[in-house]
Amino acid sequence: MNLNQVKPGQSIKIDFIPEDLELRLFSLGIKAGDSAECISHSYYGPVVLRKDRAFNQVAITHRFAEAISVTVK
Amino acid sequence: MSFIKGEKKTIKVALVGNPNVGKSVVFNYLTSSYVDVSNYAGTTIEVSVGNLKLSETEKPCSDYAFQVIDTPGIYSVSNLQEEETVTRDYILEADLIINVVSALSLGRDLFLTKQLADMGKPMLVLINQYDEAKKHKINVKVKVISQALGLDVELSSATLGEGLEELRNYILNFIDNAKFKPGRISKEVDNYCVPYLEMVFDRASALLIAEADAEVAKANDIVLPSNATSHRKEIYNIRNREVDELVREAVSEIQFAWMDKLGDLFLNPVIGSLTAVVVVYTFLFLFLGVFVAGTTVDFLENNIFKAYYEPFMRNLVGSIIPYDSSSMTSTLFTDPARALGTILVGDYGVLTLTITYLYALLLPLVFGFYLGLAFLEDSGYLPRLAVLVDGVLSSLGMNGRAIIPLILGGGCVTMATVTTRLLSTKKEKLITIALLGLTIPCSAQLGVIQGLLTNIGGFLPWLIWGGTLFLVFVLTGLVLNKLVPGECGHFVSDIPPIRLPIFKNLMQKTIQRTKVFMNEAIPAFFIAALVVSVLQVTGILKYIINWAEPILADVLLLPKEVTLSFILGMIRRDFGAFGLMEIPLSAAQLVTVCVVLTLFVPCIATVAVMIKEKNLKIAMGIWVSSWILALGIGAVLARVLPFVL
Repeated sequence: MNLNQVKPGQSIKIDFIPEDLELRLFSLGIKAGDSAECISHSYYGPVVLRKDRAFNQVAITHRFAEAISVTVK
Repeated sequence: MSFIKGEKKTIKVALVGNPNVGKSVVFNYLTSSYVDVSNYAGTTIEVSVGNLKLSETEKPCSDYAFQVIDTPGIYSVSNLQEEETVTRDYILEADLIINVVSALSLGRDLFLTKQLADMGKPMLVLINQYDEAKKHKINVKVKVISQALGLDVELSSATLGEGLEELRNYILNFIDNAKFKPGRISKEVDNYCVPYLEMVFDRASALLIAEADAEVAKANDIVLPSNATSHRKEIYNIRNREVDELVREAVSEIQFAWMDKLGDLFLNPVIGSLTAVVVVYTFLFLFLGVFVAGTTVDFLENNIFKAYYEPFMRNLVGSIIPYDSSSMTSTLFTDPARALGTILVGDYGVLTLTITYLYALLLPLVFGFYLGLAFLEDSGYLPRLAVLVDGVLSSLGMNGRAIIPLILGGGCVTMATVTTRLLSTKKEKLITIALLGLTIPCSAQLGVIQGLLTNIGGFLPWLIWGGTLFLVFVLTGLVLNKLVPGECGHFVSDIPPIRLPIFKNLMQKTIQRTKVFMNEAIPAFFIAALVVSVLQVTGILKYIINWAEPILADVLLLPKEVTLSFILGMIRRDFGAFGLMEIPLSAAQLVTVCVVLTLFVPCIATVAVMIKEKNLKIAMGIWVSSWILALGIGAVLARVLPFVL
């Protein structure tokens, strides 16, 4: 499934990030293999994630989220 | 280190770190200057440079001058984004790097720290926001981090001023301190740098070339190999793995507090949207409209300036020279003394109405707006609002980040136009600038309009004004999104924690911004008032008002006295409200004039910034469009509103 299909409160594992997005998310601390929790996700809005053991949250726009593969834990 | 014989040697100290970790607060302390600080990424869009403050006893002893550089926040050093390129160049030139990281987000921030350490530059890691980390029961093992990085690591709580004097002393001791040495360079990463170390002057450049930085490679006459980007990915993987291991070892589990849960609720689409409506209503209507523009301005204007100050000035000037209070006839050549008296204390007198307008009206309104805005900024609410509006703004050709200049525009459209630099594509910059110029009122104008609407009474006038602007905003955005070629940027952003703002910081920021605004407004307004008074005593004002009468009377169904507001509104938007409160208008006319003045042409300063940020053609396009839009919508409202209000 892709990140856009994740609902708030669900814990996920990030399986795949496309190469063109990888570097941008890398430096924000998000990479393939990471576990995270979905904090918020509104219709056509960004998905907000909080990585495990991390305080900060990262918002990823709807269009990018569609390209990221995840597994719900 | 730059050095001219006979002069002090200059040590360049670069403050480098992720966005929103407190670099600017540290800079303000170290240099005793002020740069704007907010709780969202991207506040520092330009580099600030200052000298390290030295005590009287330190000044003569030091052979060195310390130059402190506040760089824009970055997540990594590369050439992918403009702020990264700017910061990279300062890093390469710096003699000492102070890497500011947040104790709340070490998992993210230490990625940049590792990269800087791999560059082999002298560096101190300052773990900031430690007070907040303690509140969340986050325990940071400083020794473990220091040993792993091979660097000195200090703790600080910059907003409370803790740990900053120690940092200043650390910088002062930089030259004499023999223990300064590069950090521990990752062996795995070093293998990628080795081929370039013999070809370039320094390790930092070698690392950047190994990480596929084409600009640094070109500057060193090196052609990047075809596998350079895959090398970068491998280096980033190594670095991320090392950071993960270090964070697991050195940082305890986080305990989330009620404020964090509140922050999460603001991101909820339903609760967040309802909160946004309450915030806008409270801020614009209750605080700015009722309290500031209503109660405070009313008290200052009527009970102090009009009751005591203006009569005193008129008596004082009147005892020396005569004046006309409301004459539109030419007296300049027939009675120059009377003309001078009129310029000083007449209807638009530079010593009467001008002073009252500036200090009883403009000052409290601007101060009130900036105080409210500072609260929203420092609390971390704005990035959450950006998440909520991202979907809507995307359909208008922008993304969530555009909400920041759009809201700042409510303070001063000119300053907000400069802030559009934080947006990533030309298309979204252009649309945001156009919408700022066309639909966003500045603080003083906003305050006066809120005051006028509150005086009519009830929520309906406010709703009509706000609803019309919202409609124009959305429709203009939709049209521009279709017309303007190019792509809009995508919203990928860090969301900072929700914080209770510190009162001292709120006041410092509010006073500083108000000062900047007033320093610009006061001379401009004096000149404008002088010009209007001269036009009055020469009789020209009467001709202009008569010339504009058909437009106002036939198109907008407004009395000719409103002309002056429009003329002044062209000079500065906030002057557009000048004298409006004195003109008797019906409820429908007041709402019409409020909408038209808001949509009316951007002020001269904004047009100048538009030309600088875009070009003359675009600035003139926005200027002409605002005439058409304001008059067109005003004409419709003038004919519809009498049936509603």
